[in-house]
Amino acid sequence: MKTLVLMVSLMSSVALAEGQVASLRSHVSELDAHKRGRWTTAIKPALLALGAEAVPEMMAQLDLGHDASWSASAAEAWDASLLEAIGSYSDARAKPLFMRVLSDAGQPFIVQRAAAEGLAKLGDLEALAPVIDRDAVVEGIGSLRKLATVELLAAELAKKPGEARAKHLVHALGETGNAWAWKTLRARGEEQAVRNAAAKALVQAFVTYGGEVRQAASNALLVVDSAAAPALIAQAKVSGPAAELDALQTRLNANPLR
Amino acid sequence: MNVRLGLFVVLCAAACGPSVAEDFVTTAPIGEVVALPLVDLRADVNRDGIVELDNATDDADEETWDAQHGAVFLANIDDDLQRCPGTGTDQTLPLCNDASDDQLNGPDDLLDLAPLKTAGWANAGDGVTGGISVTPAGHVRIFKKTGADVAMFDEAMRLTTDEVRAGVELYLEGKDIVRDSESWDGYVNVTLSIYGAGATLTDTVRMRVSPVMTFHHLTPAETSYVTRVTRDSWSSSFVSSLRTLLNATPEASPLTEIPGNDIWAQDFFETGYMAMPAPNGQQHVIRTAYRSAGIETNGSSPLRAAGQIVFTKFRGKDSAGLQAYTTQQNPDSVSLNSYGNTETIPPFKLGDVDYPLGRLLRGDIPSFAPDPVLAKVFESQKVQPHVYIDTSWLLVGHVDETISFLKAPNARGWVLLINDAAMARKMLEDQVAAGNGNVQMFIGKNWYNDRTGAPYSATKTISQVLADTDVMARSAAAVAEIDAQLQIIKAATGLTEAEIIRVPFLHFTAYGYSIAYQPGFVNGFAAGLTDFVAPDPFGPKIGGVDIFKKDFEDKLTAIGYHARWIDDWDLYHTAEGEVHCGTNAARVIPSAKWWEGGR
Repeated sequence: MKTLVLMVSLMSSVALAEGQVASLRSHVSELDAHKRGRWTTAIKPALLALGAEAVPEMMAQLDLGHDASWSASAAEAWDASLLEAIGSYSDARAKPLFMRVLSDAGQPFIVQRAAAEGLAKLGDLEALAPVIDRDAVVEGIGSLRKLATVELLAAELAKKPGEARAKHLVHALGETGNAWAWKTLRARGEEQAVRNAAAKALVQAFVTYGGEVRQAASNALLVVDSAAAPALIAQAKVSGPAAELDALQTRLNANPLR
Repeated sequence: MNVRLGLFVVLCAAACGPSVAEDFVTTAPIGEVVALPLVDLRADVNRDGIVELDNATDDADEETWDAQHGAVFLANIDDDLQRCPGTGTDQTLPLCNDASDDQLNGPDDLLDLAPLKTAGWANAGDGVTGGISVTPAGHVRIFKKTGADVAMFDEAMRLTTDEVRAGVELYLEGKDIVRDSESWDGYVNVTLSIYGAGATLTDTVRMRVSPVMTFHHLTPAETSYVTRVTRDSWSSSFVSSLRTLLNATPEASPLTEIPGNDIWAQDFFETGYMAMPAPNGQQHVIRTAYRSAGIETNGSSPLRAAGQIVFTKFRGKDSAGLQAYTTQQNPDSVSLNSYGNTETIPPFKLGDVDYPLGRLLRGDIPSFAPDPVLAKVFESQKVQPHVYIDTSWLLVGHVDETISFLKAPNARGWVLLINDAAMARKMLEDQVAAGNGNVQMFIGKNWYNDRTGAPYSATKTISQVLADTDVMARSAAAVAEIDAQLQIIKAATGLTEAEIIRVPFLHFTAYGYSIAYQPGFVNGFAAGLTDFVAPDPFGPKIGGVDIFKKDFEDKLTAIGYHARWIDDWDLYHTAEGEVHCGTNAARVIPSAKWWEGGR
C-alpha cells in the first residue's frame, strides 16, 4: 500500500512536472523578448523549482529541438538552461546527453559550457580532459572540485596560452577553489589541497600575465582565499614583479570574503 | 583683440611708419582727427549671456579659451518648430534637426544660436567691405541679421560698406556635437575680415561648442519615465505603484509613460543636456537624449527599436536626439550599450583636480567593450572624464547592477551605494546562528510566473540559500569582482569607507555569469533628493521585519533618504533587472557650468 501511494505520488508529480516544463517551453519567446541581458535567466531556476523528478522530461525536451519562431538567443537559453538544470541534479542518466552535446563542437558556447558543467557535477574528469582545449569546457569544469581538475587546468595554463584562454583557465581555477562553494559541500577532504593548488596556479598566472588576466587572477585568489597564498606570493617575489605582488598581498590581507 | 588704434591724426600716418591705417581709405579730410580702422568682432567672451560692444571683457583675450573666459555655442540639433518627421529609419531619423538646413527655424531658434556683433567703423571708406570666415570649416553656420530678417551669411558673402560702418549682428549655429575629438576638438575660430584698398585687417574670436553632459543624482528628476506595456497586469501594477510613490515625494516629478514592449526604460535612452551662458547667470539649455547603440537586427534600422523615441517623441523645442554607433560591434557585449551601463559619478574634487560635473562610469574593458563609436562620442565631450570598470562577469553587464549614488550630508555631498554579497551572507548566517535558519525568503514569489499559479516557486529557507553551492560560489566571485570595481572607483574619486553604503544581496549563476539572486536593491531609482525607489527584496522576516529592508532603511535614513519599496519581482527581477533598469529621468539642470570646469 505504501509502495502504491508512493508510485501514485511520483507519477502525479512527474505528470505535473511534464506539464510545467512544456509550459515553460511555450513561453521561451516571451521570456527572451523581455530579457535585459544576453539570454533569459528565468528558465533554469524555474526548472529547478520543479525538482529532480522533472529531469526525464527536461531531457526529453532537449530532444524536441527548437521552435521555428525562436530567436537564436532563445534557443541557446533553452538548451543551456535545460542542461544546467539537469546537471545540477548530478543524475548519471544524463551523461550520454552531455557527451552528445559535447561531441558537436559547433554547439553554442553556453550550451557546450552547460554540458561540460553537467559532466563536472558528475565528477567525470575523464570525459572532460580530452576536450579541455575548448574554452567552453574550461568554463564548465570548475564545479568539479578535485585536485586532478586543478592539475589539469594548471597544466593548460603552463602552456602560456593567449590572454583570452588564460582568462578562462583562471576563472575555472577560481571556481574549483571557490571558498564559499567548498563550505556548502559534504565531501571536503580535498578542500585545502584544491584551494592551495589553485592558489599556486593563480599566483603563477598573476606573475606570467598582465592586464585582464592578472586582474582575473587577483580576483580569483580572493575567491579561493587559500592559506598558502602569502607564502606563494613571497616566493613569487624572488623573480616576479615585487610591487604588484605586494599590492596583491595587501588586497588579500583585506579579503572582503572573510 | 580688435584692431583699433585709437584716435589718430591722419597727417601723422606716413611719419609714424607702416600702419594698418595706411591701407585704408578714410572719408576724413586731411588734418582732421578721425577714428582709424575698427575691426572688432565680439562674442560673449565674458560669458554673461550678452554680447557688449562697450564691455572690454567681451573683447579681452578673445583669441583664447579657458575656464575664465571664452565664448560658447550650441549644437543646434533640436527641432524648435517640431517640423521633423515622427517616423523613419535609423538612417533618416537623425538627419532632421534645426541645424540640418540653412534657415532660421522660428524665433525660438535664434535663442539656440550664439550671438556675435561687429563694431561699427563709422568712418570706413567707400568700397570697404567685410567678411566672416570660420576655421576649421564645416562645423558651424553664420547667420546675419538684416532688419527683422536673420539669414545665413556664408563665407562667399560680404558685409557692405554700410554694414561695416554700422556694425552688424551675427549668430553662430553649431551643426553637431563633437563626435571624435581627434577629428574636431569643438573649437572654432571666427574671423571678421575687413577688405579695403590693400591689406586685409582681421579680428578673431575663439569659441567652443557645448559638450553633451549626462545627469548625476544630485539633482532631482524633473520628468520620470517608465514603459507601460499594453494589457500587461505586471506593468500596469508597477507603473501605478511607481506613480503613487513619486507623487509622495517632495518633488512629485511627473511620470511619463512610454508605450511599447521594451520594459527597460533605463537602457534605450540616456538623458543629458548642452548649455551656453544666458543672461543673469543662467544657462540656455538644449536637453539631449542619446539612444542606445545596441544593434538588434540588420537592415536600415538595426538599432534597438525603442531608442527611436529620442527622435520620434523627445526631439522638439530645446530638445534633441542623438545616435552614434557602428554595426561592427562585438556581439557578445552589445548589452553594454544599454544605458544602465552609463551612470554619472556625482561632482567631487580629488586633490587639486575638480570634477564639477562628475565623471562618467561605464563597464568597459578591452575584451568586453561597448560600441567604440559611441564610446568615442562620450570621451570626446571631455567635461565628464570616464571611469571604466569591469562588468564582463555580470550576465547583463551593467554598472547599475552593483552601483548607485545618492546625495548625502557629508563633506563630499554624496555617497556610493555598492552591492556587498559578503554582507548578505553574513546577515543570513547570523540568522542561522540565532536559530532562524528555517525562516523563508521570497515567500509567494516564482522564478517564472505564467499567471496560472504554476509551481516554479522561488521560496527558500535561509539555510537552503546558504547551502546552495551555485549561489554561494557566484556570490563569492561577485564579492571579488565588486572589490575590483570599488578599487578603481576609490582611486578615481578618493572615496573612503565612510562614504560608502553597502547594499547586501546575493548572486546566482546563469550561463557562467553572475546575476542578482535577491532583488538587487542597489538598482533603484533616485527619484528626488530624499527618496530612493528600490525593489522589495522579499527577504526573511524576523519578528515581522524584513532584515534586508531594515538594514537599508536605517542606512538611508542616516543620509536623509527614504527607501520606497516596490514589487518588481515578476516584471523586472526575473527578467534580469530591477527598478532602475525600468525607469529613467530627465533631471534638473545642475548649477555647475561646464565652461568653468577647466576641461
